[in-house]
Amino acid sequence: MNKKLKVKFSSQRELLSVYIAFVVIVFINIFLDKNFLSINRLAIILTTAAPLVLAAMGQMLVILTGGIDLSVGNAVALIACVSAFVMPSMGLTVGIVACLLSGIIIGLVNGLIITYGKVPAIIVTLSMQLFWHGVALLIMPRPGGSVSSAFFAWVNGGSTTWAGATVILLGLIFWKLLKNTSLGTAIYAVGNNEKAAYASGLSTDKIRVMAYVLSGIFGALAGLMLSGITGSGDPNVGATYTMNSVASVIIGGASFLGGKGKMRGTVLGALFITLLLNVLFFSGLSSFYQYLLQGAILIIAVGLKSFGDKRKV
Amino acid sequence: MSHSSVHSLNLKKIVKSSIFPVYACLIVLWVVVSILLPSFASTGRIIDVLHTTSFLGIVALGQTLVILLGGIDVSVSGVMTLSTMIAAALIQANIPPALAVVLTIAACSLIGVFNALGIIYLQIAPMLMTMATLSIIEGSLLLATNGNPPSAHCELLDFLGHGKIAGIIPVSVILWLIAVLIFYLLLNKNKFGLKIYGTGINTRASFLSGIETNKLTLKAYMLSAAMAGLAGVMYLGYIGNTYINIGTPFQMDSITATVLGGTAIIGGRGNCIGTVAGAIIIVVLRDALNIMNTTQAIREILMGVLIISLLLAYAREKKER
Repeated sequence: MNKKLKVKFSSQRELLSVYIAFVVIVFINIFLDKNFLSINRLAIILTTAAPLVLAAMGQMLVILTGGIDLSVGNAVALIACVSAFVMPSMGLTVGIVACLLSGIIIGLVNGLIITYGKVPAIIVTLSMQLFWHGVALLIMPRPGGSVSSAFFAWVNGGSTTWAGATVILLGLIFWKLLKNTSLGTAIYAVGNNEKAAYASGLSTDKIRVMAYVLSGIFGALAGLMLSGITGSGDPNVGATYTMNSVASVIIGGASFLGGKGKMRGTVLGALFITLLLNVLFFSGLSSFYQYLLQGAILIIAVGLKSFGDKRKV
Repeated sequence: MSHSSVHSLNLKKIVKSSIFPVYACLIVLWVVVSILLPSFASTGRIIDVLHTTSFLGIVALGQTLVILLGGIDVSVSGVMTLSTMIAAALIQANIPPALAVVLTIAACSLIGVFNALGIIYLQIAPMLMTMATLSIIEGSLLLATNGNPPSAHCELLDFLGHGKIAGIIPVSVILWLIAVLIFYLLLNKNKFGLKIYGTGINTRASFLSGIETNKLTLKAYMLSAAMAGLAGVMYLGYIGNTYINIGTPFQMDSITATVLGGTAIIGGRGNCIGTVAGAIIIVVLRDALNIMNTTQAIREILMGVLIISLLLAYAREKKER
């Protein structure tokens, strides 16, 4: 029994720091905001967190394969613009389809250039962020547009938190997808040891492209949520999502080199960052502290993890 | 050996060298742009382009060093912004300009020390460590200046940014060329360079063969931050004031210039001479798109397409199976 317990604990160790950080930030929130535990407030927080949680899930898929997507922020902004541009004239359904299609195209373009063009992910996505920002500006030169009123009400529905519930549902689907499908296993395998994965018969190129396409779909969902929350599109909101999504994944215990990471870690990481912003808001501190704290927390979280790893060896 | 065979051998050597593609691209690009925009085909224009490139060129040299070592420094943009603000604040406080510049560059290299400490002792991936540092710098600058950064003018800054030797060659270009020469000597004619390339190819093997890889990492990140600091001071003179995102474009541009210049992003292969052309390519593209009177959207889309095409043309990694 002792052995079983040990195994359980060691599999959780990479998540230990994010668990602790999450609990601490929740307590600080409860302390500062007396209504924090009300259904209403939790629903609002879950809705606010939705775009980042979704973007971070997409980022995680890419990082699991050993890549990175530095264009995710501008992709999210682009999709929000597509949503706010298409919905007023063509309605909700066409809008959602357009967003998902854009997400698939974005993922496909990134994935194909990285995989078959054989150019490293960092430099491709760094260049593509410029491209996606340009496309967003083309669709919407300045912030504006609108989303269908039904969609806006659905996202910002207060205590009847459909948006929050959808994020939880998507999280569960994503978890199952990673854990129980052959694609999920293959994504981990490619990130762990690409040569071994190839040698054991996986078509690693296709899997990698699939990871980028899935990541694009999650980016699309994030963009949709973002447009739903603000009720409009803004081509310039992207930058924060890139840094925050990478930070969520890494604070959530995933390995930057790929092959290792858990979905719940990433979700908690993204919630942690959202709650951190909440703390700054409620304590009346300047929101400028956000950047400072995020940087410090990233260093502490990754630093602690590497100390843990060293001790293990 | 006959005269012609020597000639063809040399030609082969040139074509095979790692910096040939980028210089070939630069020449083709220049010819195309000159045909589209005849104003580009003049000496004055060439000097202008070099003048604009010099700041990016200096940042990209430091970036090249770090990338050759197998790392990456995304905090250069923050360091550059920091540099403009420290310099402006020091000069506002009536500290002699020359001393202010030296102090600023020294302060910036401390950021490099911070990066290196995280990478060496906490074993944080360079991309993440420098990203965290960037976030900390940006937050601190926003807090310290409350969004209203200081500005300063003085003769020295003006000289660094706008001064011209003999009324023709900009001082910043001279400084850039001196920096290129120093980096070339360091990387190609010195043990330091050998160690950098060795560590970039295989850190573990280099460590086991007695190279102090940690010291090397520290030096590389310090140099990268110092170069960004130097570029920041010069850029302050060039632009004339500071603002909160003044360094931001230099992050992506310095990395792209390095990779376009033929340096492998995974390290160990490349050359600082290629980076020079990589930086010029970026500035020429941006300049040409600006002159063509396009909207920001079209400019960014074309810039993205062009850079990706150049990368696909010759910056592909050879993947082994």
